[in-house]
Amino acid sequence: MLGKLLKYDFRSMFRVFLPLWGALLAISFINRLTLNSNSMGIPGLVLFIAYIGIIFAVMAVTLVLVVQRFYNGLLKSEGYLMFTLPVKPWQLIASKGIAAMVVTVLSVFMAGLSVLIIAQQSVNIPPLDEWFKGLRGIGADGVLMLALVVLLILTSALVSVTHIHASLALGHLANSHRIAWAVGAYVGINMLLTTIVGIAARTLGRYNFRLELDHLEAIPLTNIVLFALNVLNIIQIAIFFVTTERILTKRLNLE
Amino acid sequence: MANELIVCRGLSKRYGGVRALDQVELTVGEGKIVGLLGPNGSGKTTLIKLLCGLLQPSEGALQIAGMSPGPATKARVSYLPDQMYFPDWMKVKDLLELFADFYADFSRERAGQMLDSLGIQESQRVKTMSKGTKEKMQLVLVMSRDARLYLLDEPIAGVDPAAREFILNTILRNYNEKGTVLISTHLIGDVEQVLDEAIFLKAGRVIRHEAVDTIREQEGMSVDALFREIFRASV
Repeated sequence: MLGKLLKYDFRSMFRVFLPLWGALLAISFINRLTLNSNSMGIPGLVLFIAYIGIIFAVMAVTLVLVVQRFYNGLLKSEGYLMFTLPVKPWQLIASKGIAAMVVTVLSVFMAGLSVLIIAQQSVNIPPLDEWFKGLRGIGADGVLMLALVVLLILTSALVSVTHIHASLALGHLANSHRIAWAVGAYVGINMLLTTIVGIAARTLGRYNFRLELDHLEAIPLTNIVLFALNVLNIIQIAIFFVTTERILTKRLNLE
Repeated sequence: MANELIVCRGLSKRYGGVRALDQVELTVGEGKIVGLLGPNGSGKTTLIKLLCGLLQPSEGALQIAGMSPGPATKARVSYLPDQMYFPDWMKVKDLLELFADFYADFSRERAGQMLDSLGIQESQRVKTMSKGTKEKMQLVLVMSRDARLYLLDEPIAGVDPAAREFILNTILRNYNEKGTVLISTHLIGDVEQVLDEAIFLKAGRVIRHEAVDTIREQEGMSVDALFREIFRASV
């Protein structure tokens, strides 16, 4: 059932994002040509401003759609359809979360790709086979580091998405002004997390918590840090997900 | 009893301090067309949403076919809400695909035939449809299922007499006769002829639940006339 839900969530996301990503890449190519000709002029400047505009648009639309697809899709009239399907609430939430994570990561990827397209002439980026040669040279620790970085990108995106979902679910507990309560919940959770991280850092510092790491080389040390960050992200995702699932299972009130 | 389809025991629902449903005791059997009758604000929509699992009870319990609302009951319940609930971006064919994907009892063929007779194209987007067309399409999808329980919330409210006739005909021609149809309405005159039973809701309480023939016999008047008498002050 999760696979079927994902089909419709991806459809609703991609119908907005595919044209947007296409426009971003197209303007990047045009900008690259105009920048390359060393004659910026007014049209070049206009294109460059359009490019900056579209980068912001991609990021803004990503944020808006993550909020809107969850709020409108589950907590407003479309919720009547979704919550009467024979599926469990966790499947509805997971589907929205996975679809939002994928478009968030792809949006960041497309923004990065567009920068590469524009910068290719001046920065001289090596071809792909050079990248693979480089990968072979970095050994097992290097490959593990890359895997942990990729995982960190995915879990970080999912933390952001599940944080938004949990805030909207908490806002749903209120009898009125649910959006305002959701914004309050979002800010409140942020403050709570900042406080916890601050206390944890001070506590670790007080006990001189060094774990005998000095003898490790740079890459294994980085891997330990990346692993710890991934674990922290997964803990946050689990807390946000369970909060959302419990609220929408036990306290759903589509009025 | 084996043929109890809906069972509510001490069912209450509060919105803040307001009691929308108050200690409802109700048992509805299978194979019936039941009118859920009451003026606006009497708790009809709240009861239907509780049966669908869109609201959670404040007190008491309810069961459908012996189960609490969940995926298993939702697979058997076909629900027509009192508002538009389809995503605007979808086309008719997306909705047909969605219903076929999730409901094993959905007949795509029957839905296709009804949509054809209404002149609704599968390539049409929900956003471009008139309010009346959207309502008809919702009804077609809901009635193209062979459900155990149809929960129809105000299906004939706010429509012209011709559309009302179409709606009632569509319901009567397509419902699964082994299942039960629960129709909430305050327009009794139009549905009275098709009802087997009537449930009267007043201020969140079930004040009467009987076969319509019994009501007519005992009261010597139509269900519509009785409704007007009971709710004279509030309609």
